[in-house]
Amino acid sequence: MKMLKMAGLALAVALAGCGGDSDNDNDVAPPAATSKKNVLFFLGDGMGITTLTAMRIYQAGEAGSITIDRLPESAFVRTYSEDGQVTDSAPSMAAYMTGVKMKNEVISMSTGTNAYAPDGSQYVDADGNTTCEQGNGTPVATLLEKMKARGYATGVVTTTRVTHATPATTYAHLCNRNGENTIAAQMVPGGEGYNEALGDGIDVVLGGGRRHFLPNDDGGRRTDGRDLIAEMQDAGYQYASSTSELMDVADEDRVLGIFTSSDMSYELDRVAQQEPSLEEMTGKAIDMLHARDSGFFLMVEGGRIDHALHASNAKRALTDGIAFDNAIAAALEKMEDIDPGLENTLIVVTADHDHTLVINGYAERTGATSEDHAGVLGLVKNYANGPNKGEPRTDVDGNPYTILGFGNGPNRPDSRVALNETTTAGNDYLQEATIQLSSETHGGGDVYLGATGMGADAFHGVIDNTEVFEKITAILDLE
Amino acid sequence: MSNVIHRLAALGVALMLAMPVTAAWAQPAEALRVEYQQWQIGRDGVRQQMDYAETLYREENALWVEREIPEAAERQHDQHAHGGLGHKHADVIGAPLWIRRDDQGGLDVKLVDRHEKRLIDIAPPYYGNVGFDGHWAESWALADPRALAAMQPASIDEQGRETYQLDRGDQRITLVWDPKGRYAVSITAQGKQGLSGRTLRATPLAAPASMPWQGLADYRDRDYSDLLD
Repeated sequence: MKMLKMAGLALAVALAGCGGDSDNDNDVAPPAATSKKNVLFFLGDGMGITTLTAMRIYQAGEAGSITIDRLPESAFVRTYSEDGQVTDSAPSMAAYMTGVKMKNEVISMSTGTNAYAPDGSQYVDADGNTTCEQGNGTPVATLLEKMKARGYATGVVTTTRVTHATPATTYAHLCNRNGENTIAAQMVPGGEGYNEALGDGIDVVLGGGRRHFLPNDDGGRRTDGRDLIAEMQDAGYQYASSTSELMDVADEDRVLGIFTSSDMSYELDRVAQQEPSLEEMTGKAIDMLHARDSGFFLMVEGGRIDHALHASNAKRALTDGIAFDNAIAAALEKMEDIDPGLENTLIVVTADHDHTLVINGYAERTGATSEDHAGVLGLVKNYANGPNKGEPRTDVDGNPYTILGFGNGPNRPDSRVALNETTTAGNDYLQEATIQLSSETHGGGDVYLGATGMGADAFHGVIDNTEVFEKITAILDLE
Repeated sequence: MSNVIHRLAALGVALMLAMPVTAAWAQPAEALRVEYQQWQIGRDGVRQQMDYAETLYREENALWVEREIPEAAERQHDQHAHGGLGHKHADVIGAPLWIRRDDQGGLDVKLVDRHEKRLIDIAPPYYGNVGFDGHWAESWALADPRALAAMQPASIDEQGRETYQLDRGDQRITLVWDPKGRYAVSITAQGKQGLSGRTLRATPLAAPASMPWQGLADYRDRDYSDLLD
């Protein structure tokens, strides 16, 4: 626990603008925003370019378009980290949020920060408490913190645990992403370990991950006995644990909405009464942040696209991807009402890294997937005129194969068998992989970035992920 | 977990017979050794074969499935680094699966990580990732006994074991059922052209002194999604 306190103190010293006190009662009024600009940053976790293409075919067919396709400005983004050709979500999202390259598994800390000790162990204990040592890097300011310091309202929305790597990079600083108990504490205004750079706190926090807010004798994983939900309520937050509770929160209030113990459900499995959709969370977040009339920063993560890809379950990845796209569509519509022409609103949509998903050839066009049509979730079928047109193409042993596959993953049968589309379009089908691993890995390809609105034409060409931060701060004149 | 799909593929023999779950039980065999074999001859004339064995421990509403791993392979596994929470790509290859069924038929599926002393909760979307097809009866008894009605009875031996057959597509399926021990003694599915086949053979073992799920009190509960980054 001593280490926890020290880590929290170090953050406070490094980031507090004017001597913040972790025991303060947060009665200091935030500064007024210099202008009412808005930034919405949409992050599809693991949504590489092949995944994007598959999402399009799944939803709208080869020639159709999803919302992301319609964004007018675009760029390709290099995603390598300080030490990894293939990044994980921590340094890749942190690069977007801070403009700094860091090592894999590091959350918004300076270049050179280590997630692993020299003996190969991680700087985290088995319960999710940090064991980061003092002097192992320093926090670097995030876009959310910078905008908060200038009086903007702020929000974080995700389908993962709110303490998971991607959302954590917006508001927390830690040498190893797995210290999720510590990350949660950094969010709680006035609490021990609070990140003072968040001022009076993030206005809207929505997602999963209750377990890192509750003590372990109350169904959580916290070993310090703290109930961070109660502490957030004491700090003035409304707490929502279901869809209706979220919708009942007044737009003028601040909210902590945590709907599940761990990650939220995949869209395919979601029970609407228990868990709001990403679209619903995004809409509510915009309403609440706009109600503050101070301009805002909102990060929205479609976080479980990545998890389904790790499981090599393309169907859940694509349905979560489309849920993410629907959230973008809803946000665009809402922001056009709030700010016609998006003259003061920048919307950026991108991914943090690729996966090893591939689209095998040479399939005839499938069109969109429907209940009785596998589409891109089906088998590769002959396109060429002739007696075999529309018949499955086969491997060297005469067995059909699927359109979607993975470079690595759990399903690598020793001998392939005949597949049918009832199987391959099933909710739980795991696409086959070239290399057998217990779970599929990220991939190293560039990712797509689409943008619209204020300053969006700054995004073009092939850019580094750190440049995204630089461009946004320049557009907002934050430096 | 690298061989999880093997487990699924072999169980596919049983799945071919699948029907809805089931029925009252009594005095089942508490432990079984199950040998799986699958083979295929490719167009290039090469025969590929895969073999492995598992031990099943069974109570009325509990099942433990554990792969037999040779000592040398186990040692190799032990030499892998196991770090901290191990959120990503944690090495749980060959870890036992512990499945419990409640009174309503709901399943609680756990992967048992002995190295890190973790019970990893497997939510239904991840059943396939740990080699479980979601079917209790087929996993517990190796075939759903209600599926026998759809097969052709062929013979009964002196020990009361019943043999059933079924032709489906290119395959002939032969199943031997032990009604007393309540498990499939063997299931053979062979392509009529002789190019592929799968077999499953179960042998009863002496009842263990204690079931393997006893003694897990100090294991930490974890979620499968903790293994994904």
